[in-house]
Amino acid sequence: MERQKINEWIDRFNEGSLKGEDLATFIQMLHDDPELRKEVRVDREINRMLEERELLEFREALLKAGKRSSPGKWRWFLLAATVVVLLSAGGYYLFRILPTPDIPEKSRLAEHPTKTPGEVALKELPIKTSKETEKNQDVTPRRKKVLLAESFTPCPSLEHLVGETTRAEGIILLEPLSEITVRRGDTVQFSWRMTGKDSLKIIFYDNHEQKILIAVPDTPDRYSFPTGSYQRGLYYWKLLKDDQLVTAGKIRCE
Amino acid sequence: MICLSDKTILQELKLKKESAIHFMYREYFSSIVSMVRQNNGVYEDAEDLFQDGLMVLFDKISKGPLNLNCSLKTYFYSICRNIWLRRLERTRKMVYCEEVEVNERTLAYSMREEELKEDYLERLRFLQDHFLRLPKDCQTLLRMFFDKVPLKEIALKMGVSGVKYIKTRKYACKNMLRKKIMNDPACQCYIFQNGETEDQ
Repeated sequence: MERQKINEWIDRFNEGSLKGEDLATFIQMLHDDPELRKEVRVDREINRMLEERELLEFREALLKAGKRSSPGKWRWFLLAATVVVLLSAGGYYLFRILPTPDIPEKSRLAEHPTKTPGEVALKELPIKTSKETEKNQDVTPRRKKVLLAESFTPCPSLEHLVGETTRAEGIILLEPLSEITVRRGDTVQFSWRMTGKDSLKIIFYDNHEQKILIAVPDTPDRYSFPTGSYQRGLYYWKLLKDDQLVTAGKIRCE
Repeated sequence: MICLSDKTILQELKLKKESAIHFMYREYFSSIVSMVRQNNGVYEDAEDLFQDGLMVLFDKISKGPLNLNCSLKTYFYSICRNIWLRRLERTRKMVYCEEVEVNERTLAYSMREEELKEDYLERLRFLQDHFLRLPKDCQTLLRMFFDKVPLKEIALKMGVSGVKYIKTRKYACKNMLRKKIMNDPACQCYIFQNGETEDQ
């Protein structure tokens, strides 16, 4: 039997308008064909659905309104995008602003393959973390990373203090000399003779006049400044007694 | 932000006003999403559930006044929760985290015949969605048939001269709809879940 005829009979069967011989034939077909039985069942459900006109119209209104009302996945997409942007900004901040963690020089240099070791930027100076300097305060400022290569450029505002001594009383600096050159990894020894128990402080700067360390010596007459934690470059220091400048110097770390 | 009272929401919902639907989405949707997510569902499940819940609510208010003994939000939550529970039972992934608050909500709306009605509305929603995806001329034609519009008038509105063509077109449209529904894997769940019924 052609499909068009079956479609008509399904419709008329559920309407109750299929009569006589056609009805008998159709019932026999239903007995023999489970798929046809399913079609008739679905057709009956369709009729019920179409009779529920109010609900159909409400469903239409719902779909129309729902498309605009439901926050939908885009909201989560926006949230995810916001998180990504914030993480990126945070990552950028950490990478660009915060001091770079102490990593082996080889790998550091690998990041700047065109630079010689001496050209590595001072802002990449790592922070001292050894027990030896626990008492020392790291004051490396959170500053922007500027491009490299100026590691040995003198800092005019500190340069003029190098070798100068003040009238600070009761203290004589024995070492180091005001200008020394050391190899990276060497320890620079500071020693002095002092009367009284005044507080001493040695402040170290990079050649951009940024404080990298404030050392409060824990022995009465000496202090060791290990350069191994720092990159090659030019550093300055100021010795202060009761916050008064005693003398200043510079260390060329190669 | 516009705040609507429960009474206003129900009145506007009865008139199928989008403002009421928008309001309900804004105020109620997040709690349904939370409930679904806490109970083995995902966001898309919550979207379907929310619309099924609205269908149930609309059906109730369109049949007569609704006497609430709790807030509309609680009542609606209860409808959605009941639908979701049965859906979980059907899909056999029932792991429900009971909450004190949920128990109170369930009591607000839980009756066997209501549940049967919800099942029916769920089935209806499934069928409606297929119907609303039919070509527009098919939708119009079938609506007119069920509005008992005379064949000649249908032919006139459809811009054809033959009544016979209208009938043939109707049978073809219904056949198209039947095939779409039967080819949907969810059909087994919505239409034949209780096995084949007597159709003869």
